[in-house]
Amino acid sequence: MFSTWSLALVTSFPTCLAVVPPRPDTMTAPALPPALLPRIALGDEAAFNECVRRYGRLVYAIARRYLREASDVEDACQEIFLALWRSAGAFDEARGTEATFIALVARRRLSDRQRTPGTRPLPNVDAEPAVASSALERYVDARAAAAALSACNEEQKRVIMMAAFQGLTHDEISKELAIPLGTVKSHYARGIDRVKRALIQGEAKS
Amino acid sequence: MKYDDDELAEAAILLAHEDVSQDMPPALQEQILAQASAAAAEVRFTTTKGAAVVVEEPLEEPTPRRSVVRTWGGWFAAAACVAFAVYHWRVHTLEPSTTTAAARPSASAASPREIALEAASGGRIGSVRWDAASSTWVVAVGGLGRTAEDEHYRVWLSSTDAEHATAVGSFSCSGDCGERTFSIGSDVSVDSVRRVWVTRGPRIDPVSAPLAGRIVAEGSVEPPP
Repeated sequence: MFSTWSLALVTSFPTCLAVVPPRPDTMTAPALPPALLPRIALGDEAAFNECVRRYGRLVYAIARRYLREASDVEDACQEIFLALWRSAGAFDEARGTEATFIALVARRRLSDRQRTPGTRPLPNVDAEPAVASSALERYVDARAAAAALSACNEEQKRVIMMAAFQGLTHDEISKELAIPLGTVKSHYARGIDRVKRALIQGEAKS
Repeated sequence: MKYDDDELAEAAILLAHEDVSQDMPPALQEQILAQASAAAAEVRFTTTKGAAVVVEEPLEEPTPRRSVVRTWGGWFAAAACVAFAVYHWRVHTLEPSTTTAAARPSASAASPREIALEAASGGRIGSVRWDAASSTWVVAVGGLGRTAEDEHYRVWLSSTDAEHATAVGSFSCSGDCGERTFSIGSDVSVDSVRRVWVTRGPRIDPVSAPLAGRIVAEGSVEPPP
C-alpha cells in the first residue's frame, strides 16, 4: 500500500508542478519594446509599418470613440498615422510611453474633426478600465493613470473625465455641472497632478 | 509639436479606458501601409506642403548686345570736354594776345620807349611812347589847333621813311587840344619804329596814301647800335 501511494505521488509530482501557476511576484516583467517613433522620425518605413501593426487597435478604438460613421473612422485613422509621421520627432521617451504619445496625437486630430465637443458619452468611471486589464507593458502609463484616477474623489474624477474624453474646457465643465469655475479648476488641478505623479513614478499614490 | 504634461496625463487616462481588443479592419491597415512610402517622402524631402522641387537645367542667359554709343560715346564726350577745357585755358589764361589776328608788338630792351614829337613850326609838342603794360602806343600832345568837322589828326609810324609810313590811329580836337593822352592799338613792331608823324587832313578811311594830309609834327629815334 505504501508503495502504491509513493508511486502515485512520485508520478503526479511533475503534473502538479505543471498545473501550479507561478507566483506573481516571481514573474519577471517583460521589458518595454524598443520605441518606434524615433526611427519613424528619421523616415524609417519599416518602423512605421510596425507602428501600424502595434498600435492600429489603439488608434482605431480612439477613433471609434470620437466618430460614428465608419468612413469617418477610417479617414481619421489615416490622418492620425500621417500626423504621427510628421510629429514623431516630438516624442520624448522620458515624459511618457509611446502608446500615451500616440493617444495624445490621436486625441488632438479627432478633437479637430469633432464639430460638437461634449457629445461623446463618458465611460463608466467605476468600471475596470479596459487597457488597465491588459498585461502589455506598452500600456504601463495607462495602468498607472487608471490607478491614480481611481484614488481621486468623485468630483475630481468627473471633471478630469469630462476634460479627457469630451474635450470640454473648464468653463464648459463649470456650466455643465453648474459649479463655480474656481471649483472646477481646483478639482482638475488636484486630480491631474495625482495622475502626473503616477506617470512619473509608475504607481498610484493614495 | 509641443505638448504639456496635463495633456499627456489626459491622453493616458483616455488610453486607460479604451477597448483595444478589436483589430483595425485589414483593408484599412493595408491602405495606411500603402501610403507609407508617400508619407515618408513627404516628411523627408519637404517641410512645406506641395510637390517636390524639380531641378531644371539652368537657362543660359543670352549675352546682351552692348551698344557702341553707350560704351564709347561717353568716352568721346569726356575727351571733347577735356580738350575744350584745355583749349580755353590756354587761350584765355596763358596767351591772351593770341585772339587777335596779328601778334602784338613786344618791346625789347633796346627798343625806343618814347619818341618826341617836334612841331613843324618848331618846338616840342608831345611824345609817342610804347606802353608795354597795355601793349599800346600812348600819344601825348599839346597845343594843337582845333580841327574842322571833316578833318582830324592822324599818327603815322615808320621804320624807314615816309613812303613806308603806317597809319596807326587818328584823333580830333573840338577845341584847343591842350594836353591829351590817348592810346592807339597797332600791330607795328615797336622794335622797328624809327620815325613818327602827326598829320592833319580830311577824314579818309581807309587811308589811300602814306602821310595823307599836312604834317604838323614829327619825331625820330636813332637806331640802336
